[in-house]
Amino acid sequence: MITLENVTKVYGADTLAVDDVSFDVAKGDFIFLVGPSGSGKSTLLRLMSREEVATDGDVWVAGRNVTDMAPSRVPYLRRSLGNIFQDYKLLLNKTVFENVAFALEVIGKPRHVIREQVPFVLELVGLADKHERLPNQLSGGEQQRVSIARAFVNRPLIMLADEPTGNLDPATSEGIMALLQAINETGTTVVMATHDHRVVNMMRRRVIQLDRGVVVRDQERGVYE
Amino acid sequence: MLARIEYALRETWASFRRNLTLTMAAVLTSAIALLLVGATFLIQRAFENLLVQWRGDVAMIVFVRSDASPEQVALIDSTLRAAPSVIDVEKLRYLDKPESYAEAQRIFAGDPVTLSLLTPETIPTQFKVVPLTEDTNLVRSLADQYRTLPGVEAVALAEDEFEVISTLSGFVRTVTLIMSLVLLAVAIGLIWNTIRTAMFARRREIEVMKLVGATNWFIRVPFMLEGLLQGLIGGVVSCLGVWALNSAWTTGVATFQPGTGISSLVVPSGYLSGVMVILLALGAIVGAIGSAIAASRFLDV
Repeated sequence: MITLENVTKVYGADTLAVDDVSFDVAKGDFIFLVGPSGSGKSTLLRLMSREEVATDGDVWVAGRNVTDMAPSRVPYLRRSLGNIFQDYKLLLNKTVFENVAFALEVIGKPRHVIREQVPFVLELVGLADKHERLPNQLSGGEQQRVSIARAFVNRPLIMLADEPTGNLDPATSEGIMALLQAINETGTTVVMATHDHRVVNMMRRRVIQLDRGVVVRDQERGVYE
Repeated sequence: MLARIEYALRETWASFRRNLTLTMAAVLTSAIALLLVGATFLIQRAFENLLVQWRGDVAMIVFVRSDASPEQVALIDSTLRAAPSVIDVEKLRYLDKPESYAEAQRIFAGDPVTLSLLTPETIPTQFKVVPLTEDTNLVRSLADQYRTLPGVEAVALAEDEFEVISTLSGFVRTVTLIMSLVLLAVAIGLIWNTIRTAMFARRREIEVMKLVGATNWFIRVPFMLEGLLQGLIGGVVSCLGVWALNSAWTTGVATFQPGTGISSLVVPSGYLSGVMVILLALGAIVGAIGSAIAASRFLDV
């Protein structure tokens, strides 16, 4: 589903963020990218969603080489991806329902699809009774659930999660991980960057460890260390 | 498709209301710029009327020195009447000192300095000549001949007067054209700034839109429509302004005495409608350019 071939990313003149990284992620996999801050985890996610373009090497996502993809094709790549972030990136002036609906609206989905799909995913993430709330009226965990609902509502092939539990307490994080696991069980590939030891050790999934842009460990059913 | 159109219109309207002050500034500036463009058109057309009307019966004026003797005046009169094939003797008119002075009062109404130099005693009298021929060279050679007569101070040809009016109209055209071009550029700049501000205010939404795979065009269109609308509203306001100005002018001109040339400085209503259509189109273009630059430049917020 995702293939990186000798990917290198240099920011500016000489800031080496990712150094000759290669790995494969099979369809339906759940992998953790771990490592300290600045090790290149987020850069790898941004290369996959083509918010960044690799300086060298190829990034294949859902059968497409995103490195030499025309800018006009990028939106269609993004429609097969779901992105979630540490800071949720919700629109504060829109309700829970509107935030999720927005993701369908701006890719031109008709209203009847929105009316069907949004309540369905809100039910899935356990927020059906809070669909009229504004993000500020929700807890951090609930806000992250809204952002997961928004990422999942278009049935992406891949979920890219950048520190999704970074702002959450352990109990809440467990709930979020359970949700991501449930989404993974529907066949969605999940790539999650984190430095949260607890969730990595709890899940026992494939772990790719990075240090200063280099892969130092790639282990099935790994722990954080 | 319908959902997309609905989305674009809704967002355009919402953004329009959110930025009311900036929007007003952009709309007013484009309105003023377009008003100047419209005024340029109307003034040029009015000047053309003036020139066309005078070209119809070319006039020559023979100015007689204020100290000329009655015999000299009589000689000039008879000389003029000696060429009935070239000069329309029926329309030949002699203005004595009080008449000439009265006319000068009108001609130099806007020029008190010149006017103060003239007195009913020192003013030249004049023969108003309407030639029968269309041949301006013939008229010119006659004028040269009259200049040599005793007592003649000067011979003015309407042809030369046309040049003054042409120069004047050219000057006015240059000035108004430059001013309207500058103001149009300012209007584009203000619309650009308004759209940029609107995009900055919605940068989080734009970020999310890009994240979930909205196309750049989908993101751009509401902003471009907003700019287009601003220019178009400016166009409508300028049309109202041009119409009001022209109505006031036409009414005002009607009170002038006929034959002074001023009354010819009006434009037909059909021409006015044409100018209005041009202003609306120009407003839309200004808005589209300003917002298109902003929307393509600031999408990476």
